[in-house]
This record gives sequence, C-alpha cells and structure tokens, in this order.
Amino acid sequence: MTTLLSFFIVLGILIFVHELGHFILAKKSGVGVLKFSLGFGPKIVGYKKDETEYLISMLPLGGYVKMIGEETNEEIKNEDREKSFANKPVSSRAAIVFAGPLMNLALALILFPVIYIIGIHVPAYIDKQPVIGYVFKDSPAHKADIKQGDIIISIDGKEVKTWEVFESMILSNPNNALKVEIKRDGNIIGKELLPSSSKHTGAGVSGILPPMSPTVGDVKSGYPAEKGGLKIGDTIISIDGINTAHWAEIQEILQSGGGKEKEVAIKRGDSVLTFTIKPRLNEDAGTYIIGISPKQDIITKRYGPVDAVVIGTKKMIDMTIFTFVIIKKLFVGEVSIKTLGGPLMIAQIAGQAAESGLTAFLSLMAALSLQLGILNLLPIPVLDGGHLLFFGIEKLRGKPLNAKVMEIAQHVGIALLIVLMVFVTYNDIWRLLDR
Amino acid sequence: MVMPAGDYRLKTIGAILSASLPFCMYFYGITVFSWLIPFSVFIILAYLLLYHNNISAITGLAGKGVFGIIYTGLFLSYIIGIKTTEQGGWWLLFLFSIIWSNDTFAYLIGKGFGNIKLAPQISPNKTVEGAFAGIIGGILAAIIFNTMVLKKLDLFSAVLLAIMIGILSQLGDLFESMLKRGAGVKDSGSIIPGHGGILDRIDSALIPLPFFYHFLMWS
Repeated sequence: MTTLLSFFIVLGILIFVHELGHFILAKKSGVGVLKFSLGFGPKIVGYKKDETEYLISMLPLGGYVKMIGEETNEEIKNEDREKSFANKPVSSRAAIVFAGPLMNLALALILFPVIYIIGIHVPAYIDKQPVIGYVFKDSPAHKADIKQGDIIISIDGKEVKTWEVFESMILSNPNNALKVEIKRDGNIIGKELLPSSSKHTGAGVSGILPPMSPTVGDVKSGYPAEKGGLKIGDTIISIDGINTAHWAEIQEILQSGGGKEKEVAIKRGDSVLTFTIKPRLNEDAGTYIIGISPKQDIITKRYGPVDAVVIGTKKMIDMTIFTFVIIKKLFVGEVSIKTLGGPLMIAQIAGQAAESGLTAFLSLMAALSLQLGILNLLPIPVLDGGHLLFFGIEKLRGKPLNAKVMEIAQHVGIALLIVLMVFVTYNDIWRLLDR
Repeated sequence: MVMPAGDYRLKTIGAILSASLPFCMYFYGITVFSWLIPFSVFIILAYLLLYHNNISAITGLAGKGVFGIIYTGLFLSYIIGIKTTEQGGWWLLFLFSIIWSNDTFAYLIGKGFGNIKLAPQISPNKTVEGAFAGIIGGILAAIIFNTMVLKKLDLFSAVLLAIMIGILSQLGDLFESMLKRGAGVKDSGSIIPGHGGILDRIDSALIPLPFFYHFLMWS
C-alpha cells in the first residue's frame, strides 16, 4: 500500500510541477487557460474559478494544461482572439512550452542540495582512513602488489584521507595508471595501480574492499544458512578451520570443495558454536552461496548548505550525462530497457524509498524529475522539445511552418518514435536469441 | 558480449527490416505486409547465401533473423493498426491498462500469497495464484476503463476480452522467460528507476497486439 501511495505522490508532484510551469507562463503571457488537469481522461473531481477548470482526472499517466487556440485547426471566438496561444509571438509560446520541463529541472536542482543538507545514508567506512581490508585475486590491486593492511596515503600526488576520495579517484580513472603511495609497516612505498574498467558501467575497478567484519547482517529464509542454524548478529570466525577476518574470505572459502558440507564456526555472544552447512549452487551467478549478507554500518552524513549546493549540482550534472549515456546505449542495444524499469518498477522503488526514509524518497523524486525534464526536451514531435524545435524553425524563417509540413513532421515524428520502440524491443529479443 | 562479425551484420539487417515494417505500415496500411514480409525473408536468405560460409550455423541464423523480424517488427506494427482505428489512442490505452494491471496484480498477489509454481522449469518466480490474480486484475482494469472512458463494449465482451488478453500476455511473458532460461540470463533486477513507460512492458503486449487488432477489425 505504501508502494502504491508513494508512487502516486511522486508522480503527482512531478506532473503538477511540470504543468504548473506551463500554467504560470501561460497566465503571465495573457493566454487563456481552460483546463489544468492532473491525469488524463474523464474527470474525477473538478473546481472552476474564472475561466479555468482545475481537474483531477482518471488516468494517472500525465497531465495537461489546455489553452485557448492551442490546436492548429481550432475555431476561436472573436473575443478570445487576444487570449489565444496561436496569436502570441514565438518567444512567448516557446517560453510557455519550455516552462514545464524547466520546472522539473528546477525541482531537481533544489531537491539535490536539500537531500545533502538533510543527510544521506552512507556506509560508515566512507569517512574513515583507507586501510585496505581485502584484495581480490588477480585484480588490478593484486597485480600492483597492494595488500591487506596497507594504508593509502596519496594518489598521483594528491592526498587521500578517506575512502570516499579513494573510491571516487578509482571510479573516474579506468585504464589510467595511477601512482599510489601506501604505508606498510611504517614505511611509505610507491606502487603503480592500473584500474580496469567495469563491463557494466565502464567505471574504474581496483579489486580493493574496505574492512568488512564477517558479521551476519541478514539470513535469507529457506537457504542453507538458516537451515543450518545461523542467526543475525553471528560473527563467523572460521570455516573448515580457515580463519575468516574479512567478509570476502567467507565467499572465497565457500567456492572451494564443489558444494561439499562446510564446518562453520561462529561467535554468538560469548559462546563459540559450530554448524555444518551445505552450500547451494546459485545457477545464475555460478557461485556457491549459503544465503547470508553482511552487516553494514550505516551513518547519516550531513553537509553544510554551501557544500550541499556544490555536491548536489555535481550529482545532477553526473546524472544528466548518465541519462544521455543510457539513451545512447539503448539505441545500440548495449543495455536492456528492462534494467531501467517502468511504472511498476518506479512504484516498487518509490515504496522502498518511502520505507527507508525521507532522503531516499526525495532522491528518487529528484532523479525522476531530472529525467522527466530532460526527456521532455528531446526534439521529438508530441513532446515539449518537438514544439520548441518548430518554434525555433519559425523564428529562423520569420513565419510559421506551413500546416501541411507541420503535419507531416508530426507523422514522421510518431513513426520515428515507433521505430525507436522497435529498435529497443528488437535489441532485447535479439540479446536473448543470440546466446 | 562478443559476437562474430557475421552475426552482428545479421542483427543490423534484422533491426533495419524490423523498424521498416511499422514505418511502412504507418504510411501504406496493413496490406504492405503481403510483400514486405516475403521481401524481408528474401533479404535474410540472400545475405546468408552470399556472405555466410559457416554451414552448421545456418539454421540457427535463419531462424533468429526471421523470428526477430516477425516477433518484434511485425507484431509491434499492430500498434499502428490499432492506433489508426476510430478512437485508436484510447483502445491502445485500454489494452495497456489491462496489461499493466495484469502485471501488477500478478506480481503483488504472487509475491504475497503465491505457493503453487506455474512453470518451475521455465520461471521459478511465477505462481498459479499470481497468474489468476493477474487475469482478475486485467478484468477489473477492463471494466473500469470501459465504463468510465471508452463506453464501447458491453460487460460480457469487456470481461472476455480481458481474459483473452491476460492469457496471451502471460503466455508471452512465459515465452520470454523461456528464452531467458535458454540464454542463461538471470531475471534482471532494475539498476536505476527510469521511464520505461510503455516501452519496457511492450513485450507482454507483443502477443496480444495482433489478436486485439483483429478483434477491433471484427467487431
């Protein structure tokens, strides 16, 4: 129920803000507004003041502002001529259309800093000194001879005080050799680390994990760990006699022995207990699992207003770039539309976000608002961006496009949208056929 | 994923042909398929004859090429067919609200109360309870949409139509799970919430689309 409710709240606010943008600018330029509706289709409730009817309509998939003289072949009464959209100069019309997406972008621009001021949930290690907790075999860090217990001092001459700084430097430097200074046994040594690039995101990967205590944070029901007797809060000290100091070591040991039973020794309170657990093969990932996940210490990190604006804006720029990267990847078939998720997925995530706090909820809203703004500005007929494109051409020519051309352009636009749809679906199906 | 160069070319040819189907239908109507489909098959086989030496892979490639074009290009073209009927936009929304409602009910009820597996070999997550709930959800959506928006169908046809669409859409989903199973792809979770909108639900609509179009033509 929370899911559905928060979905409608998020969607409702985004649509409201968008239409409000159109509405305010229309009023300001003296265009008559007949309807301001949240949702499409038949009305549920309505309230009429002056010439405008404010509505909530049945289909919650969008909204609209209906202005006088908006349709190309609409008949306009003489007394309404002044208030007609079609009669306004290009600049006013463009401003009215642009105001919708702009409001979504503005909402995102406000929300991102607000989120950082309220405070974001981050893993506790992020502000701590980067002491290496674990290095994966054959990873870039392993090849660079970086070991458990090393402390990262600097990268390319830049001081690295926290995991946050360290991780962001790795992420932004795929396939880029970095000079890393580490402290080992009191000595400072130089190493050369060449982060590889992630297959999925293209971001840099080092193969280094922060310290993670082998304490069970969650036990999945129906999995071997639960049947074996493990409980939340247990600390795993050894498996088959091999000591486990780091969470990743548990996973590593589980992979050996081809799924044979393991003796798992744990510490619960003051007592040490031993359980026999038989790992199960997770066919999808091809790894052995017992169904536990680590305990993560989460802290709330708050920022001052100035920092929040800087970080929030940066985050917004990153997400904008990311959105375009995704659009491109959709086209060439590198990512599946499935991984993006539709209304149902938004609903699910909105629900989870609402359950896990105000910031998560606001983050979701900010991200969606940003995307809605960007997508609406794409120069595709039927979207705001398409109208802006026509206005741009009108401005350049000095007279409106002729109705015939505009109609053809609309048709081609719709046909192109469908072509896009076919491309995306075709890529998805082909991905499945081609293995 | 690294594909052999030949496969990549076949994929590109298939994508262009698929995309041309709805495009041509939009401008020339449904009769265009009587030559466009044979033409597409011809192009695929001409490509394979001229450029492909790997004889053992040929059956698979021909199958993939033609299937991809029919299943996506042709089936999706019916969206245009539906759109161009009277009140086509509303009919499309009618279809999609049934499918969305079907998905949502199946997911929620299946997750909460699902016990009996529908097809354990194909998809471990689908349950009989979910499937029934989905059909019910589709019926509810059809009734609400019809009484409040469309007002074109009598109650009986609305319910019958919703059941048919529900079953076809679930069959489509099962088929895709089967493809996934065969391809060794996990049922993917979402990395980022986004605007799939109609797009990401379109494969549940693929099979109902031609059926729904012909229902509209017939009635």
